[in-house]
Formats: sequence, C-alpha cells, structure tokens
Amino acid sequence: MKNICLYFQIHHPFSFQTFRFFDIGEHKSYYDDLRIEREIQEVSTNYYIPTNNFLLKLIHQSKGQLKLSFYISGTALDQFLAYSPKLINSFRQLADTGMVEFAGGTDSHSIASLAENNDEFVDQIYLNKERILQNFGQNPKVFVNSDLLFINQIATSVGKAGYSAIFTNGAKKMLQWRSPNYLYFSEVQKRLKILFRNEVVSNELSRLLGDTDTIGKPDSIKQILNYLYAIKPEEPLVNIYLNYNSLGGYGMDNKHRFFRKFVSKIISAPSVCLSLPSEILERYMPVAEIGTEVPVCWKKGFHSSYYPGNNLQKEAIKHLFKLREKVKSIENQNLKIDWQYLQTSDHFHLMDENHPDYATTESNSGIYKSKYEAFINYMNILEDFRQRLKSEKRKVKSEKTIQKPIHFNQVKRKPVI
Amino acid sequence: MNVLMFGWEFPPHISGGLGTACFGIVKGLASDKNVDVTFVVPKTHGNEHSANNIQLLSADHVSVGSQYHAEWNPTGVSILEVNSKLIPYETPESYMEKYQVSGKIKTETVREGQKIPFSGGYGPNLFSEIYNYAVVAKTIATENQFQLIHAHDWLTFPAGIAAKQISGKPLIVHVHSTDFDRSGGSVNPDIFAIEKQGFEVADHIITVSNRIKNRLIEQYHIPSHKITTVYNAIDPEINDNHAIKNRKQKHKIVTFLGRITIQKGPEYFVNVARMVIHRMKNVHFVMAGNGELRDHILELCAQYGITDKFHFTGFLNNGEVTRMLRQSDLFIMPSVSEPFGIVPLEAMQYNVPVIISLQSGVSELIRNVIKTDFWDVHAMADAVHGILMNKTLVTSMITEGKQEVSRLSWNRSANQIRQVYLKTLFNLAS
Repeated sequence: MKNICLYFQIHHPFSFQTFRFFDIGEHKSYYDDLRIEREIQEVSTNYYIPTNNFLLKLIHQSKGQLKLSFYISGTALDQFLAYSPKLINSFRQLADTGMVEFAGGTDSHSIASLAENNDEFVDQIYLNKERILQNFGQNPKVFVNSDLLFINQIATSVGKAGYSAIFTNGAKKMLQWRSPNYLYFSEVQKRLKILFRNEVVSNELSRLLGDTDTIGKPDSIKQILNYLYAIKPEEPLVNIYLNYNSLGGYGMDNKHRFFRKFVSKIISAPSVCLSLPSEILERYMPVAEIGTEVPVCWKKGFHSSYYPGNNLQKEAIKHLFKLREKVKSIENQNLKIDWQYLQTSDHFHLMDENHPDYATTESNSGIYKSKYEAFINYMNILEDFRQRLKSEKRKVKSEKTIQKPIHFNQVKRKPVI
Repeated sequence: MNVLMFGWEFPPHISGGLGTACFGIVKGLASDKNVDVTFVVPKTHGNEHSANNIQLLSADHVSVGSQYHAEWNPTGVSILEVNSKLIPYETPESYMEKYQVSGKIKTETVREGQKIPFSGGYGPNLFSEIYNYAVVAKTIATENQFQLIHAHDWLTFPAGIAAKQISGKPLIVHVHSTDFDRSGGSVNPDIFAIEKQGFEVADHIITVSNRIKNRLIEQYHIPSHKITTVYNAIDPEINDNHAIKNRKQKHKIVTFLGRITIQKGPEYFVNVARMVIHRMKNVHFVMAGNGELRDHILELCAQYGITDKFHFTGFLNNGEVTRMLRQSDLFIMPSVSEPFGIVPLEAMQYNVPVIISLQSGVSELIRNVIKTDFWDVHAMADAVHGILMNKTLVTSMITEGKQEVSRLSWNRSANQIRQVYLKTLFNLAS
C-alpha cells in the first residue's frame, strides 16, 4: 500500500513598515497594518475561503477517502482572527470532518531554532500546541519547523517539547542515497520520527498548479501521475507539501477541477491511498536513523543551503535573542506579542541578497531595495523594542516601590538653618 | 578594425568623469589586437597616459586640407590633438561669464592649409570651438584609414557627423550625459539641437546607463533598438598597500565628493548631516569639491548650526581624493541626476561603505550599496545612522562591495562596445 500525504502550508508574516531611527522611542507601530489587512482580505476571499469550501465538499463526496493536513503559522492565525474571522470558522469546519489534521510549529514562524539556547524554541512549541488545540480542537502530532528547517539540535529540542515526529524537506544533501519515501528516526533523538517532503513530486505539482495556461488540459494530470508511478512500489509513503495559495487565485476553477481529478485518480487506483500523518506514524516503523549538521530547509525562491544565513542575519538574530531574559521577566502582553512577531523568519529572509524582492531593480513589492536596508530597518525596530522593554522594567520597579507605604518619620528632612 | 574616436579630454587633463571613462574604454579596446583606435582630442599636452594600439591625435596640429598624416604606432596608443576649448561640464553661458567674453559668435572662414588653434580647455566660445573641431575632423577623416567613427558626448558630435559625411563610414555616438542631466532641467536649446542631431545621424548609440537610454527615448524620441547600454567600469586598484584600514580616529567621517552643483544634490547632504548630527555624537561631515553652490551650502550649515561638524575641503586633486576616501567611514552620492557616477565604485575599492541615489546610473549596476531616492533625506539619514552604528553591516558592505567592484573591468565594457561595432558594421553590410 502506498500512502500519499498532502500537506498545505499557510503563512503570513507581520511585515514591517519603514521604521527610521528617528522613530525610535516615538511609539510608532512596527507593522504595515494597512497592507496586512488588505492582503489578508484578498487572500481569504480569493484563495482560502473558496478553496476551503471546495475541499469541504470534496471530503464529503469522497466518503472518508480524502485526507489532508495543514500547517498554519501563528502569525497567519492572528491575522485571520483580526481581519477575516470567517476564515477561521471555515478551517474549523474542515477540522470537524476528522479528515483534516493540523500540524504544530513555532508560534510565529520563528527562527527560534537558530538561537544558541533552545529555551525560547521549546517555549514557542508549547505555546503553539495550545493554540492549535484551542482553535481546532486537535493535539498536533507532527512538528513543522519554520521553512522546514532541520538540523540535529532541532531534533533534540522538538523531542523535548513532546513531539514524536518532525517534518522536513527531503533535500538531497541530507538524504544522499536514501529515498524520502520512508519513515526515519533521528540519530540524536531516537524517539523522534522524521518525515520527508518529496521534493520532486511536490515541486512538480506546485509547478503544474502555477501554470494557469496548461492546468485545464488533460495532459497535466498525466504528468503528475507519471511522477507518482515512477516511485518504486515498495516505498510506502509520499509526502507532498505545498503552499495552500497554489490552489486559489487566478484560474481557481481549473485548479480545483485539476485537484479533484488528481484526488479521484489516487482514490480509485489500487494499492494507493491518501493518509494522515498520524496514521502513518501508527502504521509504520521507521526504517533507519538519519541526521545532519548542515541545515536543510525549504523556502520558495531560496536555495536549500540558505541557512544558517549571512553575517547580517546572524548578527540580527544574536541581538534579538539577547533580549529573551528581559522579555521573560515582564508581564506586558503587547511587548510579548511584539517579541513573537519580531522572530518571524521572513524578516531575516529579507536580509539576503537572493530574496526575490531584489531580483530586479524595478520590483516594488517590498519596502526595501537591498538586504542592507532590511537590516537597518530591523535593527531600528529592535532598538525601539529594547528601549520599551527597559522602560517597562523601570515602570514595574517604580510601581513596586510605590506600593510600600512611606512613613512620615522615615523621610529625612534637611535641617532648617 | 580601425576606429576613429573623437573625445574631448584625456587623462591627466580632465575636468570630470568623461576623460576617465574615455581612457578606460580606449584602454579596454586596445587590449584586443584586432582594434586600433585613433583618438582625437582638441589639444594634447604631451604628457597624456598611453596604452597599446591607441594613437592620440591633436587637432591643432592638423592643417585643414593639408596632407597631415598621424603617425601610426602599430602597438602604441596614438592620440590626435585638435586645438579646442570645450568642457563637458560647462555651459556656454557659464564659460562666457568666466572669460568675460561678449555673447557674439564670430564666424571664421578657415582657409586651406591653415591650422586652427584650440585652447584644449573649454574656451570662451564653446560653439565656435565645436564647429572648428568639426572642420578639422573632416580633414582627419579624409587623411586616415578607418572603418568606424566613435564620438563621445555632444561636444564631439559635430566632428563625428562631419567625419561621417566626408567618409561615409558609420558613426557611433557614446552618451556619457545629456543636457538634461547637466542643467537640472533648464536645457540649452542649442546644445539640445546638437545632441538630437548627433543621436539621429548616428548609426548606433551607446549609453552609460539605462537611465540615459530612457532619457534618449523619452526626451529625444530616439527608437530604443538603436541604443545599447554599456556600463562604465573601474580600473583594478593598483596600489593595494592601504587596503586594510587601520585608523584609530575617534570621529566618524561621512563624505560627499563632487562638484557642488544642483546636479550632485549637495543640499540633501546638508539636510542629512543636520538630522544625524543632532542625534549622534562624533560624526563629521565633509564636503569635498567646489562649485557655484558652495556659499549657499555654507550658509545653510550656519543656519542649521552645524558648522563645527561640517567641513569643506575645496577642490581635491587625484591623490587627495584617494586620501579623502581612505579616511572616510561612509561615502554618500545624493545626486539628483547622475548619468553614471564612477566615484562610488572608487569608494568601494577603498573599503568605504556607500550610499547612492536611485537617480544614478551606477545604481543599476551595483548591489552592495544602500540606494535611496535623492530627496528621501530621512531614508538617507537612517542609512547613515545604521552604517555608523553597526560594525557587522559595515564589514558586510565593504567585503561584498569590494568583491563586486573587483569583477568590473574596462575590458568587459570594451568587449560590449566591440559587439556594438561588429553589429553596426554587419547591419551596414547586409
């Protein structure tokens, strides 16, 4: 029996607005709220809600044969709650069918796994687990790190945080001669199973879905099925991991038709079925141990050898996590939330010259024109955040001192001459 | 392939980037054995830099209509000299002011066998010099063997056109700047006419950036297929001893380098200085160069109360420029309109982080700098602050910038120019 697992990733960062050093200490918002709101409303009406409805219908039609899982980042969830609560309901409906699983992650699609100390990372994993339970009534079984980033030290932390499986990219440099289509376990944390994204099939499927001209043609379905047939029959598992927005947007009807056909072909084929990751974990034993000290990841538009990043990124991450102890010691919720959002990996991706935003000189999709500007903007925001932390601590301190009653006798008076 | 090239200046007698660029191009072309260049300048001084395969011809040594023949040096650069007084960075008006010459243009009839004297600078009457240059160009064109004419900037366009008319050989004009860039919008109609005629007569046009290319398309209505962009380059650093910066000065130095004219955006530099000085200690701003806006800028500084941290150096010669760059912690080029802009590349060679305006041609070419709009002084001040405050950012910019600059070379530019030559000749033949 060959199991095909479909995963969809949804992530939206809290993008920054231009934050100059003049703005430090001026109570200016860090985020480009208007743009975020516009984008969320756009994606929820043109992408996610119609696709959710389509999937819901398809799940009912397939009578328990169509199964899929989602990874929704915490920042995306926050944005949906704020700007499109309907969408959350729509995801809940999917969750209620029992055919949809939600994977856990770091709460803010964070780069906490790159910090020297893994405390923050573990904290975030717990935080996110709770959120998934709250929002979708499920206990996530599989951990999906931001950008599918994986190295051995991450396996240790994830195991510590109570997960029994992690999902990562089936990059050649980690797998080498091995196939991504088996279940493995980590060489440093024997209890932690590792699932690999099948790069070939996933990339091909997302390429087909992206090509709106040919998606309607019957050939395209054959192409993707040929990729699946090419996999050896004894390999039990194919993980297909895509961005969820590839099922929506321009030419959505064609894409849905294509997906429906794809699913029905798989369901009707002998000895192939769609499965949930949790079923895989129950059904199969890992075949071998595996590990890597060289980071692997998956990010559209980036090379898979992207992590651990350039000097600017390392510097920014170093300065960010220096503030952890201070954040832990305060109670202010606004600061805690900002602390989460500051860790989102997208901010750091912008500090790389290969970011798609910088591909052409004329592209205006982002606010930055180079990695240097992204870095400067980030450091300005971080400085503002640091100052807010400082003043918050001072405030807390002074509040404590005020609480002590001051006796008149204790006040020393200047002797009157 | 023999190329007859008309220029206006040749190092070391230069007043700006044009001479440097011409020298680079000519040197790059000369590195190919198949290209021989005869470079004509209004006047030689006898100590011009030389390179292989280039012949320098001085126009004031040419008798009009006489049997002058420039000596060809098969492996040497020859520069032909024409006696003339044109400056690419001077308008006729400003020149007349300087030399107190009345506005009347004298028309001289040049007789056969006569030599026309050129000043080799930018003479009292720019236009008569240009046309004198054209007269001499005719003679040179009849007396030399070549397949192509290549003319640099409007001052040499009439000469190029004249040479084309008399020889029937294809003309390529090279645009280092247009009058829109030099004048900041108040275009001199006479210069515009010469430029436009040059662009129209030319068989192909080379521009130093897409910025200039678009200007030609929009303002001069030149079809885009006739234009190719070839970016300028920079010589690899010859003296590498000082590459490792080992300064122990307490103050950070932010530098502006260039003529203090509207085109270079000095006012924006002062505004950035004001914003940064009021929020940071130990930062000094240096404005190196001279120009008609100097006094105005000085007054602005006084008005802002930053004269103690804002310094003027006056005009710097080549060695001083190098020294200035080496001392700088940051170089800013806030040009309102810069056709290309070679100085940022030099700064990068000397391990200085660079901020340039998006309105410069060089911003199309390089990545490891910070680019802002020239008017966006907030962005610029923010970048200054970011760079001065963060060592990692500086090292990253310096090392990657230097690598990037080291990949540029005049040979690469010359290669692209040679492609244009071949294409032009091919199109003509077919």
